Amino acid sequence: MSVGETDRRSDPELLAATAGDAEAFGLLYARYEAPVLRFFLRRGATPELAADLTGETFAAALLSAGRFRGDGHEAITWVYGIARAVLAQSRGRGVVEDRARRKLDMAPVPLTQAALEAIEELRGGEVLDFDEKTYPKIADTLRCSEMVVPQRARRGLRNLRTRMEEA
Amino acid sequence: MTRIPELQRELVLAARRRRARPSLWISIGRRWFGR
Repeated sequence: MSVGETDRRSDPELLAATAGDAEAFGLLYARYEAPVLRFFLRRGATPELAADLTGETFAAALLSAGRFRGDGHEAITWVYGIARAVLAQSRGRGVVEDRARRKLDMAPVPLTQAALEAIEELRGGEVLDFDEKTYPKIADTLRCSEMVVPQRARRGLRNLRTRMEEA
Repeated sequence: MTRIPELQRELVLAARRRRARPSLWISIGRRWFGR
């Protein structure tokens, strides 16, 4: 399998390629595994639960990859939308939703201790993580250039650190 | 490096299986025309 970081294709390109190139979806998974796991951890899931919900999210994304049109939205926003639906369905039913996984004939993935620990580490994660809000979206809200967003975030964190040290 | 490489592998295999499976309409067409 090729390494995600070296592939320069955009997310919509990877989604469009999925029908003919199975590896393309693997690359998309590699790109968004951590944000999706973090999405569930933040909402109180254990590492094991977060892994199951992440599996279902990507299985559902694979099932509807051909229908992704973007319409001005980024692929990650679309993936978060699926994650939110998976979480809502799972909460509603009281068990982890696994319809998409079963539809794809995917075996449940047994988690290794190493994987569980790696997922747990994401909980502390980056402080500078905007979750569902992407840079363009933040730039739009703040009415500033996209390039300015990371600079402002860094400055904000620096100020926060100084204040905490002073306190 | 992904945290759950097994899941990544399963997804790629599932995507491959989907590619191999003819679409519903092709299956119906084959049945209809006996091909």
